[in-house]
Amino acid sequence: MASSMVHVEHVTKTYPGGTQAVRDLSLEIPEGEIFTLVGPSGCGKTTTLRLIAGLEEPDAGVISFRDRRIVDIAQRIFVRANVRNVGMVFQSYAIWPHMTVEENVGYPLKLRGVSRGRIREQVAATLQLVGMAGMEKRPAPLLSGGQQQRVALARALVYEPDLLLLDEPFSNLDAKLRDQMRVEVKLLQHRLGITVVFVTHDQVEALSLSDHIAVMNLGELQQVGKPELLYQHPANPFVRDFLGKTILLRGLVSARGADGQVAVGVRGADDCVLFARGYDIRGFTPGQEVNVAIRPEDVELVAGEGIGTPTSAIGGTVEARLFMGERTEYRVAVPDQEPLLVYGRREQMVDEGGQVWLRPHGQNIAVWPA
Amino acid sequence: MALGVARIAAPRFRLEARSALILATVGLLSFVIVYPILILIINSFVITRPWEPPQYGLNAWRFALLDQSMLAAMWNTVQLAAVHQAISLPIAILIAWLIGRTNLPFARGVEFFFWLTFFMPAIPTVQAWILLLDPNYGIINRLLAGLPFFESGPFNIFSFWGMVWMHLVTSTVAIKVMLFAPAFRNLDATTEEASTVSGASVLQTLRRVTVPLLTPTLVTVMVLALVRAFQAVEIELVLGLPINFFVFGSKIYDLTRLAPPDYGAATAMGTYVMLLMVPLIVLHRHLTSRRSFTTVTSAFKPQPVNLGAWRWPAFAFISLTGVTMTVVPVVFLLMGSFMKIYGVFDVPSGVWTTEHWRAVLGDRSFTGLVQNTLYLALGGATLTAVLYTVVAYVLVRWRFTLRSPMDALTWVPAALPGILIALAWFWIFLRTPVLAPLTGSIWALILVSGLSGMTLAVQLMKSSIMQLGTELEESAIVAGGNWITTMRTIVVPLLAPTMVVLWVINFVGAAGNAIMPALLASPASKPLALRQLEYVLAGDLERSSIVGIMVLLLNVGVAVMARTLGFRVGLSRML
Repeated sequence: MASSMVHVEHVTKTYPGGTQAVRDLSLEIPEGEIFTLVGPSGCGKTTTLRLIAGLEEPDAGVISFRDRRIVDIAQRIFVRANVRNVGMVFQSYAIWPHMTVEENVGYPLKLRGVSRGRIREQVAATLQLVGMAGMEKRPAPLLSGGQQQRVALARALVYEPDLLLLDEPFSNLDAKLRDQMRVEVKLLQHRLGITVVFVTHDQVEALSLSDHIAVMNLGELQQVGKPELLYQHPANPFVRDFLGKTILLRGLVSARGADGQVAVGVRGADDCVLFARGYDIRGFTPGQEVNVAIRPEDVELVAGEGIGTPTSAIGGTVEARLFMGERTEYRVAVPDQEPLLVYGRREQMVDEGGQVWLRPHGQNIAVWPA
Repeated sequence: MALGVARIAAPRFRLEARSALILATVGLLSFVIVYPILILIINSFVITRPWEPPQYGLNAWRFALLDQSMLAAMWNTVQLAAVHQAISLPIAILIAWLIGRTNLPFARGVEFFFWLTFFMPAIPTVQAWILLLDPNYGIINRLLAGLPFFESGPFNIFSFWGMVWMHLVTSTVAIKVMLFAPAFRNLDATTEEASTVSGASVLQTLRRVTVPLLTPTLVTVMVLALVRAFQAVEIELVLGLPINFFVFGSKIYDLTRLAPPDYGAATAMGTYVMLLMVPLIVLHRHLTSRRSFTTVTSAFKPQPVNLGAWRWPAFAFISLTGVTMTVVPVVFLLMGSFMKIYGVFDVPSGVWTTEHWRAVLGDRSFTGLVQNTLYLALGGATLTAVLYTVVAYVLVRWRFTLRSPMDALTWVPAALPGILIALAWFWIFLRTPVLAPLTGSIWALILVSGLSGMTLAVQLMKSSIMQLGTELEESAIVAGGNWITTMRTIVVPLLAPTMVVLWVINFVGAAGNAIMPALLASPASKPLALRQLEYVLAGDLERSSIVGIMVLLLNVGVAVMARTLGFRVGLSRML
């Protein structure tokens, strides 16, 4: 892992009125990476970002940029936001409506006493970088949402900050533009090598964009790690359910293997025994009620008419079929289970009311306490 | 990529500037609101004359609460307000609906009439209508008397119904139209379309869907209108004084003009009216603050209601109403100012003359009046635009212990009739030795001129600041700006349009106000509006019409200029 750009140590922030937005949070944000704070609204992710920016003062804790202390409440150190040299893109973009594109982007340079000629050069170069070349004279109110975002990005990058903070920057864009901007931000980050702290509530965005993800809930850190790790080995049910879709099956532990796996008999499917991993399997004993979690893409759907009972499969009936384009989703009723959402291959169509078999496969079957 | 930061202590300067501004706001609001109220209450118990050493008693209160003429004034106030409000409400709703929700031709154009009416001072308008509706020589009366079925002119402007009429053609209808029209315009059209699809006619939909949906707005406007009705004094003064008809405001004025003046009774009466107003203001504040964040309009474009064959009749009705409120007063006041005897057409030596204009313009005191008016209006508007912007900013952006009581205080001036504020300051200048040098000066007038407009001004500015979004300021700070730079380069430029609007409203208010200077001005600081009131009450209608036209044109000119420059001087955010 690269050296850390931002250290957050035991930071707590309570808003007037008693809302505890962030509780005893500690984070290491590696240099030159995209680090994502993700969680449902009110989880404290935006507050964390604002604490790093200096827009909020924590009640306790230490924040350092590299080895410099930016905030240390015990030592009464608080470096103001305007001298932290970070760039930030706000959710609303916060483009100043009384200025042109050039004036918006050039503002930070003007504050830093850069000469007029230099400002013009640097603004042009940065606009080029975000794909807004030649738009200098455009008044801010005439910009589209996507253009506003590019200007906001240019304004945050133009003074070469040490750290770029992005607060839900894509949430106000339409779906197509959002996909495009994600790729562009990722490419831009690769090119500049800047450290990015990115806040989102969108798990797809978090998984696709990040080098590391921190999942937060109710002001507390749930898990930090690379996207693949979090997706495949979530530390708790919250992380599991927040990142991606999950099929949950109720079952009973039949045996605990020496290889770190637990055999679970699925309810309503007598001869289906699944071999599941657990985050910590020592707690499971034979006969215990448990949940088995499987990602939908790890379940194969087989049309059930006219074939015998396959081994280790769960029988069910299709309640509804949703054709999604690249795949088809089926809502399948299974005895003794909540209805399950399963993916089917595009070339294989099962009618509503049809019999199907669900066959879990692969290594990513996890057991959780019920 | 050097890390340009150093170890520094907590942002000391910013905290100090902030504390200083908070302290200044708390001090200012306490001084201009709490102090005058206390002064009023205390002096309502003073039974001696202002210049004598004070002795305390209940005489003034006994008189204010029990005297027959005082009770009559209160009853008149309620009666007059009830009648003109009851008439104006349905008319205003109809006009606003036609302007905001139908395919009325030139809707934006006719709305301009009602907007203009808001900026026209009452006294010049009343005087113009005297020319038309005077029982003896009123032009309309004389025309009608010429018809076979009238023995004499049927109208008398110096009457209860004359005052009702004047309220209707000055601001009572106009202000409601200004407030309702945007509400109609922003209404979700699908609710009306659903009603039409269900089989309702246009009028049924208006009655059963549109009006109920707008009920919160209607109630808010009604409360505001009632408060304003209690503050009305000019019309009643000009038309009521000659027939001994008093409302509460004109009674207070009259008590302070008696020889000797009865300040005690005036103060006691003002104090209890102030207390009566409190529930209305609490209600108004409750209604408006509850709705303040829900008025954001959606992007859809409502389909206007098709009036069909009624399009042009409706247009004719609204245009006629608009012309009656704006063009008629200006034309007839101007005409009257060139008459030898105001309103009298059978003068043997000829009706028309420019001698009054020459007399007024040649009067050496005239320059002083104009100067005073400009100082007062410019000074008052500038001072209040700046002060209320700071107050609104502090109230919206910063959390501090007294924030919510201070916010409540900014609503109090809405409950205080202008004459009461003037009366309170009359006492303050008299009783506060530090302020004594200001007594009767133009500075005193400038200071007091913006107070009755405080609620409107602070509310307008607060909603502007709320719409601004903190992120616009935060992004400037993250970009490297300190607090002062952010204020100068981001906040002030973005609030400038609203500041101009406040400036115009306060300019017009200060220039057109005759009542406040009547209690606070000295001969040296007298503005045009007060001089006009004096001329009217003294019966010198010729000179009064000339001075009135000047005030009228000054106000309308400033408002139209602001509008031409692109500033939307509107009140809809008051809702």
